[in-house]
Amino acid sequence: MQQIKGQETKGFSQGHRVNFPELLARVDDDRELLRDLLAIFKEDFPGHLQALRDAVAHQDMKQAMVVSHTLKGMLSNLAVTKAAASAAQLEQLASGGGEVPLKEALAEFERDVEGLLPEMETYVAEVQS
Amino acid sequence: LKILIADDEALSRRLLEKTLTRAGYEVTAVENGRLAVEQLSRPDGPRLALLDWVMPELDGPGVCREVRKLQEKQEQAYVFMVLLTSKESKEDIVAGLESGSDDYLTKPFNVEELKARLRTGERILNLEDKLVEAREQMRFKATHDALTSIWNRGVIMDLLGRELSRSRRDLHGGLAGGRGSL
Repeated sequence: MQQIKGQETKGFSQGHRVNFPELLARVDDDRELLRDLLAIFKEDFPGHLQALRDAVAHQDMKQAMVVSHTLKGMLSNLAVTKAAASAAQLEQLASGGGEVPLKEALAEFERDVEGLLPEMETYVAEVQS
Repeated sequence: LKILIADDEALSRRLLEKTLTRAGYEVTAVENGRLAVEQLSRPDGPRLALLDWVMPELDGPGVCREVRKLQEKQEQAYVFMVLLTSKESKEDIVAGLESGSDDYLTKPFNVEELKARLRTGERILNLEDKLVEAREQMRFKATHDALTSIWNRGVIMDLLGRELSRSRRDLHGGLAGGRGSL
């Protein structure tokens, strides 16, 4: 297991979306695990985001609720705090069944996750180096 | 100690799997509630379980209910189950505990809190094991002679009584059958 304990977090990219020190604490400074998690995120996130867009477009509230719940869990595990809160709001709105506020919440969520994948790519590159 | 993780979300599953392996557990990870019940109902299955609340096939509380039902029927060893949830309302927590879970933990979890709660689970399982062992010892003492370790008078008389009853039933059944064939 590769450890990065004691390494200064300022050596990593300081993004606005990911709370990197918190993320490092979550994985107990395990570089290998962090790499795995980021790889899973890169693979799964686009599909979940598309599923959420489709569910909102088709007013499928149940599906919107399930997908936003999944996204909330995924983002909070990676310490993407603001986007996780937006996903939580989406989940709550979907369970209430309001179509208009759901579209607005989706737009807000998309703003919060904009640029997240490139930011994650940077972390992956830095973790691998 | 074996532990089961049931979570449909791959990232969360991987995070838990690595964290618990590092903590010394023998981890089995599954992606839905139905597979969790299957694992937990095996005689040599894990006795500690971390179950996500929202899962396909069967949710976390559903797994708790099924496992408790199976335990009642088959007298299986106790399984300590912890629900992992992002639901924080009092109603949800009560519903989760009512379903048969022993504890709950909110997501995203804190590693040290998770380990502490699992240690609580281990203590409870150890107590349960001691209790079962004590019950078996008492059962043995109540049915065996302390000096010779063979069945005591009470058990032998009880067995003889049952054998006599069975023999009478067989005898009467045989006589009735014999009359019918004449």
